[in-house]
Amino acid sequence: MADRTLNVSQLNQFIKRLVEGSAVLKRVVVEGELANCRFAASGHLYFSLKDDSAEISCVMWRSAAAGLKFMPESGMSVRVTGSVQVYAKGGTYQIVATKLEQAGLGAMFLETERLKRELEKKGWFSREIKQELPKEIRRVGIVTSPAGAAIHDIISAVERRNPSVGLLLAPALVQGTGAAQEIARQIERLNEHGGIDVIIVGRGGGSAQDLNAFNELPVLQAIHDSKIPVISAVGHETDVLLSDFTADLRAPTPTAAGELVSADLGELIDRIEMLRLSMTSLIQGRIRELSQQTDLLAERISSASPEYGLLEKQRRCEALAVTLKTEMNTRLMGLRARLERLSEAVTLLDPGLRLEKGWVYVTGEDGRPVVSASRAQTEKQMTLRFADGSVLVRPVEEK
Amino acid sequence: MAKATINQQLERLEKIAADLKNEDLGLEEALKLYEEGMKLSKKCTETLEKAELKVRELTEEGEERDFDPGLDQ
Repeated sequence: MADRTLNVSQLNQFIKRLVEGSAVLKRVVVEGELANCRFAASGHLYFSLKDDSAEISCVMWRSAAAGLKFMPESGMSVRVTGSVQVYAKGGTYQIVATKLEQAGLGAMFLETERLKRELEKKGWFSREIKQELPKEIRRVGIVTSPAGAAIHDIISAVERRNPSVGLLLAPALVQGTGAAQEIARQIERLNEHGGIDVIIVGRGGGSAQDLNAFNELPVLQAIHDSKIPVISAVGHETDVLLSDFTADLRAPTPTAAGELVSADLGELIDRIEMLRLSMTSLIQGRIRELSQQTDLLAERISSASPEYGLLEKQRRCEALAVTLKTEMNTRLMGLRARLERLSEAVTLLDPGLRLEKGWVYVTGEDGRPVVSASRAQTEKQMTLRFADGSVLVRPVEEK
Repeated sequence: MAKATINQQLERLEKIAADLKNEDLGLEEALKLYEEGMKLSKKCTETLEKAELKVRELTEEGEERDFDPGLDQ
């Protein structure tokens, strides 16, 4: 059978019919990495889709490209939906894309989860290995993009709180191909540079993909190996990256990181004021103590003076007077006791005691004792008191 | 560098305050320390109040140069 000879056009037309007639190639969904991505002036989007070993050209016409929900960039993982079409004139084929989505997020998250488990097992996230921030921070190294929001935020936070803290920026790409390696290298360089007390590693907010460098091993390794304490400050408060777990400290935002490294100047000035007060009170205490010692000495000196002798004599006089008084009191008490004894003796001389021996006690009408005969003459009647009773008597007139 | 000086001054100030607590210190020395402390603290406060932020950039050559963050504003 003789070979049928075709011209180029015929061949390409044949291929085109074959390809475009295929039900499979009419609607394909392909995942890969974006490359050579560019918008033409016409608004059409031209790009390639590639993986490790192959590449295919793609085009997205203006009408479809206008509906894109993100800005496609080379290096991104994407999923393309479209049909394979042949350009017969050039003998080339390409995907005419109708849909372009970010892809690989699932794969990225899975890898992050895997790495997280691995590093957790290695103890990279454990509290025990965290370095403390130094008490006094003089200079801060910053690894971030020189054009990003993070460096601005950090600078304004430090400037507001404590402009005496020095900042050294080690600029790095923070997203896209090679970002993780660059960040890691700058952390190492700051370690070698010296004079840095703390390193802030971070960036402003972005998509999960934008932030992903801070989930990658090179960055984590560099943070882990850093001799200088590292603060991770990536994105917004809600963004949590593996760098946050690996770093010695996580700051929710770059602004917060700036505040962490700059002791409030007001507080510093307060501290100096406290030191002034403390020094003053110490020296005043000193002086007070000395003046007390001086008073003591002065007293000792005056005790040796003649005036002090006089005083001493006076004091002795007073003491003697006291002794005297006590002595007198003792004597007085003795006398009083004697007196009591005497009065007892007097009681013993009670007339009642004699009446039994024939003595009588004579009282007049008025009850008063009649002590003489002449007195008795004047009484109309008298009472004679015997030991056992009384007798009323009338004197008999003697003629 | 002014920044290092502030911290050295602060350290010195803390040291003076601690030394003043030492009972064995003679009065003469204590007074001298006190005077130094007062002067230093005043200077420190002044320096802090006058401090200006310095932002530098580490170049690829490992050198430092001023970083101007305000180019785009």
